[in-house]
Amino acid sequence: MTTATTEKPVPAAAIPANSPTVAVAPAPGVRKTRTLLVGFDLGTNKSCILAGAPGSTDIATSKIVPTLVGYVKDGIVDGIVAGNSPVVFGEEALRNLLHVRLVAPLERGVIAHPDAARDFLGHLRSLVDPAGTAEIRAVVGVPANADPQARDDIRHAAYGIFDRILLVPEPFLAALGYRDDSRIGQSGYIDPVVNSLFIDIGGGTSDLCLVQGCFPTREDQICIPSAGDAIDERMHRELDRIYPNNGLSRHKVRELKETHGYVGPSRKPIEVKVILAGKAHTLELGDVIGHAANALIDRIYPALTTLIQRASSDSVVTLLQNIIVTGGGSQIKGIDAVLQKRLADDGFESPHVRLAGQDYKRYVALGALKAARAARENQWQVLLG
Amino acid sequence: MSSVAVSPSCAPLAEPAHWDEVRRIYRRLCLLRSQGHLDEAAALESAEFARALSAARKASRTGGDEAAVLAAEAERVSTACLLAEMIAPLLAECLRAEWPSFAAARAPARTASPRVAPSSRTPSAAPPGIADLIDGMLSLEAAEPAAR
Repeated sequence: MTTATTEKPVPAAAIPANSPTVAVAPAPGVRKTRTLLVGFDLGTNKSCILAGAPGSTDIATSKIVPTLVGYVKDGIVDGIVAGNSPVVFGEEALRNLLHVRLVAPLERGVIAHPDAARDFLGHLRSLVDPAGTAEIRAVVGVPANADPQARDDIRHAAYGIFDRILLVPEPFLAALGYRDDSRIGQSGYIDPVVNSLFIDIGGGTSDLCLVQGCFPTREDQICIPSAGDAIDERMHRELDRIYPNNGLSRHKVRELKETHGYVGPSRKPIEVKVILAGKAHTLELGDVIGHAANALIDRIYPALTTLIQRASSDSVVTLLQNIIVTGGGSQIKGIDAVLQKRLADDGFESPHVRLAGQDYKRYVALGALKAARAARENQWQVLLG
Repeated sequence: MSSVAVSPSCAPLAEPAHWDEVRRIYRRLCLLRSQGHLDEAAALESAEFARALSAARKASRTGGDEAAVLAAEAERVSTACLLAEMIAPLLAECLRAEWPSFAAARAPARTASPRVAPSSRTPSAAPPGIADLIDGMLSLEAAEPAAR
């Protein structure tokens, strides 16, 4: 699938030379009466979508939706599922877990179930444009160094749903979103887009990116296909080994991780009460959680030092002061301190690792919306066929 | 005692100091929302803004058009943000022209060649424009198939 602009002649560099094209099929009889700009973080576990009108700084729509599609099973009694809808999404799908076939459209950051991905994108479009009358221009985050097939899969899924699209690596968008535009140029403020290293730990992938004042090259980015979901899998395996037949669902294990997750030295005891087969049991999870989360750090750390060593000697000292962890993984207790200590112990000069803060869920989408607002007309890519 | 009828549309809000505070806080609120800091905006709205508004209403001798005041401040913030967005790249250009020691915001065009660590690239001191960064991304994408 290729993309190209159709309204004006564009420089060759603006259109990937060998990208295929897919035809836009506007909904019959629907005239686009306005334009909406969308910043979209299509996450493996959670997606964030922000939307606003061009020329405005207002964010008209801000939604975080679990990236799930639930296809209602046959034979479900009327009224069980709200509106008797045949398909439900996000939280609605989770609420109707017993009555739907649950599909996660993405795995490890890329589309694994194209039909479900299209349904999900269609649902998100309906959230930002219920009337269906807007031209939607979306900047969509993709994992660092996403391969051409993964990018094409997103374009296929977005065909007919978004009118124009731009795919931008997620950690770079996180830097844009994290950037405090009101402080650019102020003395003492280090613009994260000028010199920083972002570590975006999501559900499916952990993406690292050097951002140094220009768009990062492939060598400036590393994508590790291991992140929050990998911690859940490890925990689940370990729990099954220590507490056979525990009956804990993956969803429950994820909840336990999100509540008690930590890295660094063992924290014991972490005693958690769970209901198994209707009876209360107390499980001690200190090492289960610690081992699983530390294993992820062991994969991230080498990538971190690789990127640090790629920075120029003129920039690296400041860069070491601007290592920022974002994404859901930034909520793992101690992750900043552990990474910082490892860097210091390995001799890196005065490293400073910090967390992106409570808005971590929105930074990629926020950066995407900023990019959407700033994009020039000839940079937007239309899905053609 | 005679009274003077005053048109509601031009009745000044009494106790201007109180309303100045309301305006100031409301501008801050609008700015936070525009920057996406919704949690912080909500906290400001429910605490400081609510207090200031309550004080201003109590101190006001006339009804005034509170909604119009707040709408005017929201418009001012929106206009200021748009102006800043438009001017920032122009200022950056001026700075680059005036002080050549500032590195160029846009890196020179590069092909996707293997990198030899450490890089010789020095980060730009001037804030790069987002549209320029996107141009850089599209250039890299265009160069990649040729390099493969």
